[in-house]
Amino acid sequence: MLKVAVGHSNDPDSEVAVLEVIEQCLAQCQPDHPVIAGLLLVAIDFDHQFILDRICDQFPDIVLIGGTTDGELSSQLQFHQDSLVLTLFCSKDIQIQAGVGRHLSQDTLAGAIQAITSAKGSNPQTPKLCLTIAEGMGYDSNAVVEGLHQVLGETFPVFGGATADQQRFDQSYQFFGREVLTDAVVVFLMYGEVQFSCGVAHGWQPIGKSAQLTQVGPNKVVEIDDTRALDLYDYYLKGLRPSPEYPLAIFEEDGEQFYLRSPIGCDPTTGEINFLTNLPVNSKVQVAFASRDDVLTATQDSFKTALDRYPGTQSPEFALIFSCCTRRQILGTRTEEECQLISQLAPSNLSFMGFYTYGEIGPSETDGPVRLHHETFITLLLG
Amino acid sequence: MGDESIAQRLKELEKENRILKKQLSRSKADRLQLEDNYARNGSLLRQIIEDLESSKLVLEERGQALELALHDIQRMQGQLIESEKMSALGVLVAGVAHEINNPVGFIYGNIGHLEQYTIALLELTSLYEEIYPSPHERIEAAIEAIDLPFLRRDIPKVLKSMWVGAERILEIVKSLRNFSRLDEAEFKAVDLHEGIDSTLMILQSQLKGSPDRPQIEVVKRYSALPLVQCYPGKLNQVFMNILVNAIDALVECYTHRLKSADSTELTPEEPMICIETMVQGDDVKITISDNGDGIPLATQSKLFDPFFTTKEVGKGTGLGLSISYQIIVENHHGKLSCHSELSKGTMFTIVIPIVQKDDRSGTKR
Repeated sequence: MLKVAVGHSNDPDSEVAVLEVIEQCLAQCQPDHPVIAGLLLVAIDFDHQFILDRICDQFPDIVLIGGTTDGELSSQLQFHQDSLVLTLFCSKDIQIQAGVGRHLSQDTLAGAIQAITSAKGSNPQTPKLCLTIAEGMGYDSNAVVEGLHQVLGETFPVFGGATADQQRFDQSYQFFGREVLTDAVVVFLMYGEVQFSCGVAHGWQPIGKSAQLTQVGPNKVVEIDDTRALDLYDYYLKGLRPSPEYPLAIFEEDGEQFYLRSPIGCDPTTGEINFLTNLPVNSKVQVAFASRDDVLTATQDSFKTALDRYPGTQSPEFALIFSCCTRRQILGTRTEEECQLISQLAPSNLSFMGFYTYGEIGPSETDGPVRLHHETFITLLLG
Repeated sequence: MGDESIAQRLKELEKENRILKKQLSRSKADRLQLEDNYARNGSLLRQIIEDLESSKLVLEERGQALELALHDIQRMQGQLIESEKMSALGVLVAGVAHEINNPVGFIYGNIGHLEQYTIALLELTSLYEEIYPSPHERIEAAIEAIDLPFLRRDIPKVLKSMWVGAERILEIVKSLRNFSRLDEAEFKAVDLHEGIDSTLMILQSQLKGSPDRPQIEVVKRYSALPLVQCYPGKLNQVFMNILVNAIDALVECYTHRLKSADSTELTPEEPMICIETMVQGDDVKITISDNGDGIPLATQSKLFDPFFTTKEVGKGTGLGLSISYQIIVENHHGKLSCHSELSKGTMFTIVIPIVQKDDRSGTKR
């Protein structure tokens, strides 16, 4: 049986914040469910090294992973920016092993494979589930998922998010034990009787004219319909720069299904648009749009789907949420409603934690193969 | 309040202060981001609205084009049906004419012989009477029985009527062949009067009077016309359409006026169709007029519209005048117009060039 303890502090002071979350977690821990792992999500401006050291000092026997975020949410304090949230996983019959892959920008596939390999170690069992926190910038984030596919298989359940830095697009961090890392991917492999289900939804709708990506580069689109990529956005935004609120809907080869990719900048002189991943050349694309209601409807859809699909007769113990930073940006003061919706829909006593990411990793359309998403809300229920 | 609680309160205030400072530092960035997003949203929506308006216009234009196309298809379909019908009628008429032509040929060719033989026999009986003035009583009885003197008087009359009948049949057959023009589908120079007369011949039964109405009188005022280059079969179709309309109008008008006359004790005007032809510069002009009730002004503007008809359901397709218009204007580069006055009558005027310039006819020759 899986039990969790969730601590959340919105004190910007690292020392105070980490003390608060440790206190909260200790208060929830039960002696018959030993603490085996910790997942830490922290805003960018904290003293991360100090926080990791304090947690590892307090819980020396656990495996710990985490990363920086664009916003944090939990069942303790709901939504906050500039906060720190720690979840401790406690169980006698579930095993969690952690791994790390480094230097993603040099060789992403190798880094992802290294993370899984190191997490597996010599454990002969087959893991049930993989949680991952990966660097969100500076390389093609798609490749991390491809690397995980290579080791675990395309349909193996992988859930996670890409670390963020409050949209400064400068530097984000990943945590592994006491290490504060950049350019890395960290993973948990979960073994044993873990029950889980998920829901994936985004709420964006393609709008306006359809076009084709005719020239792409590393993490950028050079030309759309054989003209400067920026022209497509200029047509709608009249010279204002593309932003993640207006992502590109990338249509699958078979027609109506699409996923989203967020523009994070552009070069007005060359007309190139920058993204956090590579985009597939020749894909059909459309600018996509979502209102705040659309975003919240997707939140509800994702959570409900996960609840409906949760196996077994017992209620889930814990929900892990990965929500795109652009959703937070669009929701503004209504961001809290995402947490409120979860609280309303969740069974009583369900603990949850989550963060606003630079990329969400999970199945496409709830059931499909795992992929990197943008602008999406992924619910993972665990028990 | 003790030192401990003061320290606790101080701690809480310090924490609140830290949080507020952090929120303050973020608020300006959030506001700028919000304003940027607002501006983008506005641009996007304006452009989408413009696009939708353009799409709406395009759709409206496409809808109108589709309506026109549908209208054209319906017109063409109707014309095709009508044309097939006329073609079938032509084949029928030509077939009937051909089938009648041969037996009539036998009759017409043998009447002369029959006349000679009969005269010879009559002469023989006269000679016999002259040589044997007192015949046998059985012969006398037979002469009395057949009323020989009457036969002698009547046989020439019978033969004459046979001549007239056979000639009439030949004339009808010729008219039928002329009307059908199966052998003259090509563009050629013809005598238009022949076409008009053939059409009138076909319509003879409709022109005749009945117990309900008198005969429709046809007044021809033909001028000397040169041969006119045309599609004779198609022109006959035009004459037929206009004449049938005139006959229908006159029948209806006479019935209507007769009822009025009953009540007012006035005699209705005799129904009449007047056909006039003349040369007008490089063209020939044919007018076909009737002294019917005339056509209301509102109806006149729709006369040449496909499927427009004032006849009862099943009696008219509404395509006759539309097709006639196409034949005159498109196939012969001429003009077809209508002038009508209520209670006075209607006149259709056809004007076509005597000589068609090369490649001007609307149909492949």
